Amino acid sequence: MNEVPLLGVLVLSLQDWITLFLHYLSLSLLSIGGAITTAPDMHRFLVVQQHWLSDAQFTTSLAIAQSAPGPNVLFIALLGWNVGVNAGGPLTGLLGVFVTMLGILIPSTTLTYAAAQWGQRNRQLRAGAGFQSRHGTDGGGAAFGHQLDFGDQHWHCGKHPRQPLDGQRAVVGTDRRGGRGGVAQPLTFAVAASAGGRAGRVRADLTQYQAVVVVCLNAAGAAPRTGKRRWPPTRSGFRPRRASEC
Amino acid sequence: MRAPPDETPAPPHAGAPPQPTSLTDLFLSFTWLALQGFGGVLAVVQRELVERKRWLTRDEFIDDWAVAQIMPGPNVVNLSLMVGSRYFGLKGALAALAGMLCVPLVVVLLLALLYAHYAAHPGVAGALRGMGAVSAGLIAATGLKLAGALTGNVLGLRVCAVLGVLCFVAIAVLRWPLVYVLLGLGGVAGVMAYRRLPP
Repeated sequence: MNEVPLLGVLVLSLQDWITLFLHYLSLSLLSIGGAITTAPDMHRFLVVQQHWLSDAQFTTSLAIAQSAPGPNVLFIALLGWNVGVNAGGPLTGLLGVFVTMLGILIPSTTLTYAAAQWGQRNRQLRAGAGFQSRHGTDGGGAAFGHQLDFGDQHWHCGKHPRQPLDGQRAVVGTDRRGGRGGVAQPLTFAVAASAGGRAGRVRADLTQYQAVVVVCLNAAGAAPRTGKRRWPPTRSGFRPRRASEC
Repeated sequence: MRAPPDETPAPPHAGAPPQPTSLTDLFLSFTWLALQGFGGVLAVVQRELVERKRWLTRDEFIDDWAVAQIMPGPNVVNLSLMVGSRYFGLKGALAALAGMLCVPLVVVLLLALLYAHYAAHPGVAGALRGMGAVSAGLIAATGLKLAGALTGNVLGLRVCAVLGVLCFVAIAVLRWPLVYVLLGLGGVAGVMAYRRLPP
């Protein structure tokens, strides 16, 4: 490595890189509900156990990835990048990106791809059998979806499809969401608002802006469903200036 | 009630079902929609794929989304894989996945470089600290939203709450590795739930 080390305090052996890769491989299959659910374990591993990242680097990686366009899973790429940069320079940074991203993606994408193929084959079977309705006959799938439905869990922004659904699906959709949406949404709202309040004390405009956006998006998600699409919100959707107004 | 969709269902307003024309089309479409999604891509995926391009009907989208969430891994990544594989098999899945990740990855890395450049500036540092607080709030919100699904659980709310608290203590206080906590507590909870399910 002929790069000038940026920090030069961290030395990663081949063994360490393999450990990093294996850690992300193992987290991949645990990341049900999104990669963010395994973030605490990444913190434990990278910051507390291995001391490969500082606490601040971990937090900023999350914050940058969430405020950037694109899937939030890219926070993992940033964690890998920072580990790599700590261990050398931009080149090891890129190595970190690939090691962590491949680790987190390979197992889950393989499994999902296999499931998608299986689902498509089965769909043909069901269609071939001449059933009236996919959902009426989709006993296993619907029950599966029902039990594990995280329909309202789109945590980071409160955006999710809340449009009225067609036909039978609408009934299913209302049934499985109606009961608990009323509890979960305001709670989310409160949490986001309190986070915003905390952030506000940092006296950073950008932070307040993001906090307000988050709260408003959650408010939009919590509002009663209508036929109108709620995302993207119109400019007036961002009107409230303070979290308490939302 | 709409007619049962087969593998290439006709969208409600078009004659021939629109499809991605090529792998490049898939890649570019997913890149475009990934770049529109700040803080998450789901809403944009739905708008682009269902309403604009009509590659999926709304029902198909909801079905695919349910599966994408049940499967481990990032949800939108799973969804892009499923949509891509629907039209071009493995190649399509990889093209959609690459489209979803490549350009946004470059953007995020550029932002990180930019941040590193200005990290010493107190305003930037403060802004990032604040955004970190929001991130923490968002993660907590995920947990609360997921908890909403527990109301109908066979184990009952009390048992679920105990399991949740145990898991929180193990992860946040004792800092045990997630693998052991999930396999241990998850295994116990799974067996308990299985026993209570009506045969």
